[in-house]
Amino acid sequence: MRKLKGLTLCVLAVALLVTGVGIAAAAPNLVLMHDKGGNPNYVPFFEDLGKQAQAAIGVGFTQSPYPTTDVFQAAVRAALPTSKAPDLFTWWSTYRMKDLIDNGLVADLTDLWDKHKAEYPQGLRNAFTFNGKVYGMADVVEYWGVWYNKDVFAKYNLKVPTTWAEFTKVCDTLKKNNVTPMLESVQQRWPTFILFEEMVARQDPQLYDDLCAGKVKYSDPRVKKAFSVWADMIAKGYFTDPSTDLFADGPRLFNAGQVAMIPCGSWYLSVLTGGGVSIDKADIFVMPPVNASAGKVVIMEASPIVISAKAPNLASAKKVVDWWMGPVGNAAFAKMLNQYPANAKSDSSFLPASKVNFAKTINSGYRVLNRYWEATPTAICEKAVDKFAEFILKPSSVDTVLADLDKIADDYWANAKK
Amino acid sequence: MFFRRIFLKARDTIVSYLFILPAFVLVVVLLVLPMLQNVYYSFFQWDGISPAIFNGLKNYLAMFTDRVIAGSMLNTVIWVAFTLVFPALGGLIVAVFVTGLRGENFFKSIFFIPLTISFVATGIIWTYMLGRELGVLNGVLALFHIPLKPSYLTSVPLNTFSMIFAWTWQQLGTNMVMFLMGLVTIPRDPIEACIIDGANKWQTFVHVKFPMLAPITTVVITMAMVNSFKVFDIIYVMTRGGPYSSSETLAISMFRETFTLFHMGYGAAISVVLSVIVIVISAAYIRRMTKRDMLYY
Repeated sequence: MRKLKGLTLCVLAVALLVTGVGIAAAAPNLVLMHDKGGNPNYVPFFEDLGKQAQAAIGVGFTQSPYPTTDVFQAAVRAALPTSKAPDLFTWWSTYRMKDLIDNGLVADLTDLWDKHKAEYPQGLRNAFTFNGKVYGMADVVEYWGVWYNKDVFAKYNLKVPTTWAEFTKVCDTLKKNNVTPMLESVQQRWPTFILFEEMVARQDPQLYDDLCAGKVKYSDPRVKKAFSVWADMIAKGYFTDPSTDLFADGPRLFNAGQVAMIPCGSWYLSVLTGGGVSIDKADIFVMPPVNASAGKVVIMEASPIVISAKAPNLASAKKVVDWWMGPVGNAAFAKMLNQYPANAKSDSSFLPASKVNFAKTINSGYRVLNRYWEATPTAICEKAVDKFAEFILKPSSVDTVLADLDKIADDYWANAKK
Repeated sequence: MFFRRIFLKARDTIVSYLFILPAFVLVVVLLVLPMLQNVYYSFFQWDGISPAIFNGLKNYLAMFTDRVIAGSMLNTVIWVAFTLVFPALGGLIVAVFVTGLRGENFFKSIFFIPLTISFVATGIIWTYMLGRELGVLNGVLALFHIPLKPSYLTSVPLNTFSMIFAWTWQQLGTNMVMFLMGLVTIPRDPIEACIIDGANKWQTFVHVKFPMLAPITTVVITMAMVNSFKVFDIIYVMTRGGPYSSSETLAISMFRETFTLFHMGYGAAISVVLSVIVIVISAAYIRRMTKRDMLYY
């Protein structure tokens, strides 16, 4: 009897082991590390998408969320060179991922980009390309424009401006009626680049690209001209006090009609509605070119999902990314976030009317530029945003600011890995 | 018998060490080793992922020519100086005036309540209070038709003083409690002798009470200095050290260099300098605390 029991247990153990191995082989435990575990909280979205991937291709993923970006970045950087590297992780595009690429920590996804070539615009692919290889995939994209209060515009008979002259006329009319035309902020440091990139890109988009890539100096007369237009706008009182916070104050001032326009990403709609602004009250347009020859230009922000070069389940991770890059996977995630799917063939009918119309405008032949935050090296950008703040608070300091920016950029490019 | 005594003594010693072993291991693994590692990396140029390159004292020397670090050092000194004036001196004044007052417990509670709020929450509350457009303070000024609308968090150096004010609001209660503890332990005899000799309240305070509060004053001042040298959370929440690094202290600069710019070696060097300053002050504090005359005045 005892022997029979022992034999039964042995058989059960072997069966469990075999089944377990079978399960493990069929469904490796893929891990996605991300920094959206606090505010915003993407935990339920990633959980849902992991299940959808599992159902669609037989490979899902679990997640390892971090509540803050700083801690997340430190954790990912520490894990990437080791065998504990996450299979997948969220990151930022272009120069924000360059040092990871330089150190061979990110998997090359050129084959997947080639497979989905017809579904993605070249400008987006460029934001993920280094030395001819493409790294990371874009889950969602957003475009930067000017959110405006439709009620305020209607009250003063204002129309969406299409030229710089019309734009300044709108600002003058608002100013005359004691409405602050636009929000500008130095709070939280990074928002200072919003007006900078708009001013330079709308003078000359190629100048903007070259400046970001270190081919042009900040003291270039064309850049200085962009700063002088910006200074003129500050002097005319087109902006709020720079202490106004984009998130805490923006929606309330916008809703109360005290500020009529807020230059920001298209994702700002959720900030506005979250702050009590009715979705019908807000719409968005692309800031017109200061210099007419700059043409139709829009700034893009892409959010990548990256695969670690040392991913424990590299092949499965690529299988998940392949599905996520496709029209179905891409639309599924974008719909959860209410953001633009990066895949041009994905369904985007779920978006609110303002964002659908904005996308139509952009698709009518606009040149897409990468956002300054990602388009220029991090070491320059992080210091430059402070210099832009100095300019916003003291526009007369423009020469000192530009000289300092040149020094910051020169120091970086002199030691940069090409 | 002799061997048994030696055995028992040895056993007691081993047991004693075993009791402190968990705490000792935790301190070594979580504090001493990372600190030594931090000192080690302060001599390297390292971004956290590439191989670290030894660069000797360059990180330390770079601090002398870095304008941002010079500004951070100045701000740190301002924080230390003003946290001695406002929260420490304020705590003493409140403690003295509240003692014996009608409704003493009520006033003590009022000053104590902010202490129960975290630094992060304090920062968020005061960011709203000090907002230029929608802030409470400017709202009050407008209510009284005072034609002022300061930008408390973006005007330099007003932003640093605004944050010191928020810090004072939060820290005053701690110092008040410390001084209250000191005041109740002062013996009645010298005070009564002083009153019999004809001294008024001011003279009694200056010549008797205050000198007898010296041990507590030392503790309060030392704690205030140490805390203000390492102040981080309230600044990070309210201004992130901005605009243009104008309100950065050494702790914020260290964080920014390390976790934003990934200049790990440079950040480590800043933290070593900051730690040395805090350790020197803390050592003086601990020495003062362990002096026997603390107990007997």
